[in-house]
Amino acid sequence: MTTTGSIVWARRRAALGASWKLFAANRSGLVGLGMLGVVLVLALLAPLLVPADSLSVTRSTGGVLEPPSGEFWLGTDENGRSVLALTWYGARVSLLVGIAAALLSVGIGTVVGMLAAHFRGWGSALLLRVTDFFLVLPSLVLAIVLSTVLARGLWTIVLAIGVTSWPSTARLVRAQTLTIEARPYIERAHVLGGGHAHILLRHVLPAVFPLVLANTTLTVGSAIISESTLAFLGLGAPGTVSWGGMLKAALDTGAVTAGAWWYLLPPGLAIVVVVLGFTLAGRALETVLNPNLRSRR
Amino acid sequence: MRFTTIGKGIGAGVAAAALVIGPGLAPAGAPAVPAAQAQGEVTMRVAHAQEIDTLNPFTAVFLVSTQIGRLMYEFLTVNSAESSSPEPGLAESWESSEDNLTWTFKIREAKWSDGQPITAKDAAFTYNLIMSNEAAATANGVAVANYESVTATDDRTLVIKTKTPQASMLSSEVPIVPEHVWSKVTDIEAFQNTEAFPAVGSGPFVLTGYQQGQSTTLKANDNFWRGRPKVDVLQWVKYENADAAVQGLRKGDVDIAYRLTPAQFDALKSDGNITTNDGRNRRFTEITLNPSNPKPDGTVFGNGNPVLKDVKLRQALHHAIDVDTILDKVKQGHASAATQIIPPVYPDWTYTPDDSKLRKYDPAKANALLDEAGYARGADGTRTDKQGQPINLRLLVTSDRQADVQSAEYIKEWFGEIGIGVTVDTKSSNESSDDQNAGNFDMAFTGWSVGPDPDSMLAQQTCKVVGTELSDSNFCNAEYDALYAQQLAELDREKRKELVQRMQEILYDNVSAIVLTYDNELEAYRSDRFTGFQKQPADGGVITGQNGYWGYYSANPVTADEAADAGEGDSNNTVLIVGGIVTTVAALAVVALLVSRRRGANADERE
Amino acid sequence: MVDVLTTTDSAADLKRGGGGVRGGSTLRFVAAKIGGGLVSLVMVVVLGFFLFRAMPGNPVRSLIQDRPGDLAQVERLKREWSLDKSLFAQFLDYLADLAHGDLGTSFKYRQPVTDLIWDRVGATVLLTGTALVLSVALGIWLGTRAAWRHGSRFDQLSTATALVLWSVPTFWLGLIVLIVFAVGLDMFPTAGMTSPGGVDGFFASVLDTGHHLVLPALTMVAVVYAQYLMVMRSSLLEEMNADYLTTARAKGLRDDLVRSRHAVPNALLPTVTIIFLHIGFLISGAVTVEKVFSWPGLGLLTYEAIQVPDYPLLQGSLIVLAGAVIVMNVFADIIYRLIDPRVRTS
Repeated sequence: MTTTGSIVWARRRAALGASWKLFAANRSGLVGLGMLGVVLVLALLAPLLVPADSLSVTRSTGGVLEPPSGEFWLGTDENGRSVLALTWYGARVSLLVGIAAALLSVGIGTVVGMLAAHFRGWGSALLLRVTDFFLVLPSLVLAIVLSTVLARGLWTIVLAIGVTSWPSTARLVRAQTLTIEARPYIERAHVLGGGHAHILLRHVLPAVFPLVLANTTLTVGSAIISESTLAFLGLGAPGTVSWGGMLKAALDTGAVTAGAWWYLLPPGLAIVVVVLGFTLAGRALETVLNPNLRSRR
Repeated sequence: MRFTTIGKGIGAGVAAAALVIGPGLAPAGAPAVPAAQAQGEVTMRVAHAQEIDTLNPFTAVFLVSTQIGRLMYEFLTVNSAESSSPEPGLAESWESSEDNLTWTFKIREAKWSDGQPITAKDAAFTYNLIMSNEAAATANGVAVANYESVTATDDRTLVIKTKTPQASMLSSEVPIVPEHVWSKVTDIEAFQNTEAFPAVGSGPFVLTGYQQGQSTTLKANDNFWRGRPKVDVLQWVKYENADAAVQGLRKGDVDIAYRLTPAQFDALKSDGNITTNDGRNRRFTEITLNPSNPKPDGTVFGNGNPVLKDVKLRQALHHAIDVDTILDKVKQGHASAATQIIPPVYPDWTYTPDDSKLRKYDPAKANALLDEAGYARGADGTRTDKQGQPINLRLLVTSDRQADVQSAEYIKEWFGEIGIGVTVDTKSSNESSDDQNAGNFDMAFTGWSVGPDPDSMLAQQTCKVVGTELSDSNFCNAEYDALYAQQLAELDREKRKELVQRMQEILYDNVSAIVLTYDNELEAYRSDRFTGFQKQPADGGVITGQNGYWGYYSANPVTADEAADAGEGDSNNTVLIVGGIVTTVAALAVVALLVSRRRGANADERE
Repeated sequence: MVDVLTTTDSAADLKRGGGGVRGGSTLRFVAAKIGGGLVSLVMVVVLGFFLFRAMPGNPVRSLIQDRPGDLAQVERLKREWSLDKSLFAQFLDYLADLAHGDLGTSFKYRQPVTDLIWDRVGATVLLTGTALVLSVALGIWLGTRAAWRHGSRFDQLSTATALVLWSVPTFWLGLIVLIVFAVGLDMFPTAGMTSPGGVDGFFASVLDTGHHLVLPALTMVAVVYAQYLMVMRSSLLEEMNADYLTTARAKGLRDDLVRSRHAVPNALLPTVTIIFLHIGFLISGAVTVEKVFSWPGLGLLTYEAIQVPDYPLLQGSLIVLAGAVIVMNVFADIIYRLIDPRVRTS
C-alpha cells in the first residue's frame, strides 16, 4: 500500500509542477497572483507596521476629514483617524471574510454536489431539490435576513455569504462528478469492493479538486464584493474595520458632500485590486486546469 | 440658477454628446417642467430620507407623514412658533368648566380648500370617528382616550367632555377632517387619502399628488384662514442616499435638506447660494440604565446587572462622563449638554437642576461615591460587586446611530478609569429594540423626539408601562406616579409646570437615565430661492421638523433680482472629487492596458 | 449575490448539473420541470413565513416610536396584526389568505401587499430589463468581436476593461457615476425615476423617465456585461475550433457567413443559459443601485421592510422575487432542451 501510495503522490506532485509551469506561462494570472501576494503580505504585516492606536477613535490625533498631508498620506476619516491605516487594516477583514466565505461556500457546494451525483434515489433527489431551491432564492435578501437573525459579527457575515452562494458550485461539482464516475476505473474500484467513502475521497475528490480550486479562487473575489455590499447596507460587523464598512461610514458622515475623495477612493480601489487579483488568478487556474480535465475525459 | 457654475461650463461642453444619451438637457441640468406646475409658479422642494407610511391622517405615524399632515389639516389649537405653547387654530377661543371636565371651543369662520365652510360638526365628526373606529384611532387614539363625548351644539360651538381633567387637551394635535368628504370613506384602515386629488383640507397646503417612494406634491390652499402661503407648490422628494440629497441641494434639484451630518453641514457653509441652520431641536440622546424593575404584575424580566439598582453607582457613572468631550468630538458642536427628558425648546417644561445638584464631570467624585458604596477595586483595577464579582456592564448601541457608536468608545474609556468594565454591544436597530424590550441589557443608548406636551414623555417613565413597548427606562417610583396623575389633571399651566419640573427632579435624583445631549437639527436651504423661514422656537430653532407648519408657511420666494445679488456657488469640493476620480480612472486605464498586454501575450502563446 | 465569473464549460456544466431528468419525452420533461418549480415555490412560501419571523425586531415598537402611544394602542396593533395569536395559528391564516391570492396588508404602509408590489414591479422591470438588454447586447457584440479577432488589441482591451469593471462593487461605481455625471457635469438628476410630481404628456414623461434611467442602468450594465462578454467570447472560441467550421471554410464559405450562420448561433446557447440563470441575481442585486440612485424598486421596498420588520410585505416580496426566478429557470430549462440538439438526443 505504501509504495502505491507514494507512487500516486509522486505522480500528483509531478502533475502539480506541470500545472505551475502552465500557470507561470499565463502572465495575467501571474499579475493577479502578484497583486494578491502584495496585498496579503501587507495585510499580514499590518499589526507590525501600523500602530494599533491609529484605529482608536478616542486616541486619534488628526482632525475631522483632513485632506492628505505629510502626516496622513491619505487624509483622515470622520474620527480623525488615518485613512491609510484604516485601508491597510481593512485588508485583513476583507480578505479574511472573503476567503472564509468562499471556502465555506465551495465546501458546502462540493459536498452537496458530490453526494448528489454519487448516490441515486431519494437522497440525491432531495439534495438536488434543495440546491434548486437555494438557487431561486434572492440571495441578497436571504443574506440580509441571515445577517440580522444571527448575532452581529464577522462569522455571521461569513455564514450569510457562504450559505447563500453555494448552489452554483454544487451544480458544477455534480456535473463533474457524474462525468468522472462514468469512467471505467471508478467502476473497477466498485467491483474491487471500494466503499462509497473510498470512491468519493480517493477517486472523485482528487479528480474534481482542480475545478473546485479554480472555483474557490473566483468565489473569493465575489465574496469580498458581497461583504462590502452587506456593509454598505448597514449589515457589517461592528467594531471591525473593513473596506465596505469604511465606505459605509464615509457615506453616513457625508464624505461626498465634504469632498473627501481621499476617504471614498482608497477602500473602493482596494476592493477592485483584490477582486481583480482573484479573478485573474482564478481564470488562469481554470485555463491551466481545464485541459487536464478534458484530456482525462 | 438651478445649477452650479461648473455645471454650466462643462455642461455646455458636453451638451452635444449628452443629447444623445439623455433628453431634457437644454439647458444642461434644467429639470423637465413637472406636471401641476404652471408657468410662473414657485415650487419649493424638500429632500427627505425617512419614509412616508401613509398620508391618511388617521393612520399615519411616521415623522414625515405627520409633518406633511400638519400642512394639510389644521388642529383646533396649534403650537406657537415662539415656544410651542397652545394658540388658536381652527378654534379661535376656548374655555373650560369649573370642574375642568367640559371644554367649549368656538370654531372660527373659515373654509375648506374646496370652498365649503368649516364647522364644529366637522370637528365633532373627526373626534367621534376616532373614538368609535379602531382603525381611525391608530395615530391619535391616545389624544381622545380620556374623552367622554364630543358634540357640536351649533355650527360654531364644539363641546368636549372628558372623564377626568386633562391638562394636555390643548396640545392634542388631532387633524380635523371635512365630514362631507370623510363620511363617504367606508374603510378607514385601507383608505390612503391618495385616491382622489386634491385631498380637501384646511391647512396651508393641499395634497395634489403622490408617487409612493418618490415624491409628494402639495399646492397652496387659497382658503387657508391665515392667508395663502407664498410658495405655490411644495414637494417632498424621497432620497435613499443622504449624500445625494445634499448634492441635489447644491445643484438645485431640491431647496431644503435636513438631518445633515456635521461634515455635510460644514461643507455647505461655504456655498454662497445655501444658508445653513444649526437649529435647537426637540430631540435628546440618553443612556438608560436597566434598573431591573418587575412588570406591574410582578413578573421579573431581563438580565440586567443588579448593581445598577444602586443609586450611588448610577450617580457615579454620570459623574464619570465628560459630556463636553462628546459635544466637541462627537457632536462637533451641534448639540448642548442635557439634564432631563424635556428639552429647553419647551421653556415651560424643561428642568434645570440647581448647581448643588448638577452632576458634573468629576472622576474623583465618581470614585469616591463608588468607594463609599463599597465597590472595592480588585487586583486588575476593576471594581467588584457585593458578591465579589468584577463589575462589567454591557453598553447597547444601535449600529446605524453613528454618533452613539462613537460616544460609546469614549464612555468605555471613562468608565474604565473609575474601575467599571464596559462591553460595547453594537447591534442592529431591530435587535437592540428587542433587547431593550426584553430588559436584556445593562446600559443602552436611546433617544426621543419630544412633543409639545410633556405628558407622553412623562408617561414613559411610569410604573404601569414597565416591561412594555412604551417604557423608556423601566423606571418605577411611587411618588413620581402620584405626581404624574396630578399634573395630568392640573389645568393651571403655572402649577402644572411646577409638578412637571418636580417629576423630572425625581428622575434626575434617581438617575433613571443619563440624559447626555440635546441634539440640534442640521438643516440647509437655498437662500438664493427662499428666505424668511419662521423658526420654532423663534430663538434659534428649526425650520423642518417643527411642531407646526410655520417654517414652510412663512417661506418667501426670492425674486430674480435678489437672486442675482446672491453669491455665486462654490463648487470646490465637486471639482476636487471629479478631479480625483478622473485621475483614478486614468490610472485604472493604465492598469487595464498593462493587464491587457499581458493577457494578449498569454493568448498568443496559447494559440 | 455571489456572482462568480463563469466561462463556457461551467455554463454548460451548470445547466447539465441541474438536469435530473434525462431522455424521455419532451412532454414529460416539461411536466417534471414545472413540477420541480412548484415544489420550490411551496418551499419559498413556507420559508418566507418562518424566516422573517425569526428576525429580531418588534413591528409594534417600530411603528409607535414616533407617536405618543398607550397600552390600549399596543394591544390594538397586536390584535390587528394577529401578533397575539400563536405562531402556528398565524401560519394557518397566512396559508388561507394565500390560497385566495391575498398576500395580506402591509404593517407599515397599511396597503394590500399586492398593490405595493405591483406599484414597484414596473420600476424594477424597467431598470433591470433595460440593464439586462443593454448588457446582453453589449456583451454578445463585444464578445463576438473579441473572439473573432482573438489576440488583437481590441480583444485585449475589451477583455481587460470588462474584468476591471466586473471587479468594482456596484454601489461604489454608482456613487462615483452619480458624483461625476449628476453633480459634477450636471447632466442627470440626483434621484428618483421621474421628476418630482411627474410631468405632463406621454412623450415628455417617457423622456423624463429615460433621463432618470440613464445613470442607474449604466451602472448596472458596467458591472454585469463582463459576464456575458466572457461567456460569449470563450464559447465562440471553442466553436471556432470545432471541426464543422473547418469543413465549412474548406467548402469555400466566406468567413463572415461562417461566423453568422454557424459559429455565433451555437456559441449563443451557453450565453443564453447564463443570462436566464442571472435574472434573479440581477433583480435582487439591484437594491444597491436603487439605494444609490433612490430608484423606487422592489429590492428597496423589501430592504426597507426588513427594518420594521413588516412580515406581510417581506413574505410577499420573497414570493414574487423567488417566483420570478423559478419561472425564468423553468423557462430556461425548456428552451435549452428545445434548442440544443446535444441535450435532445442524449
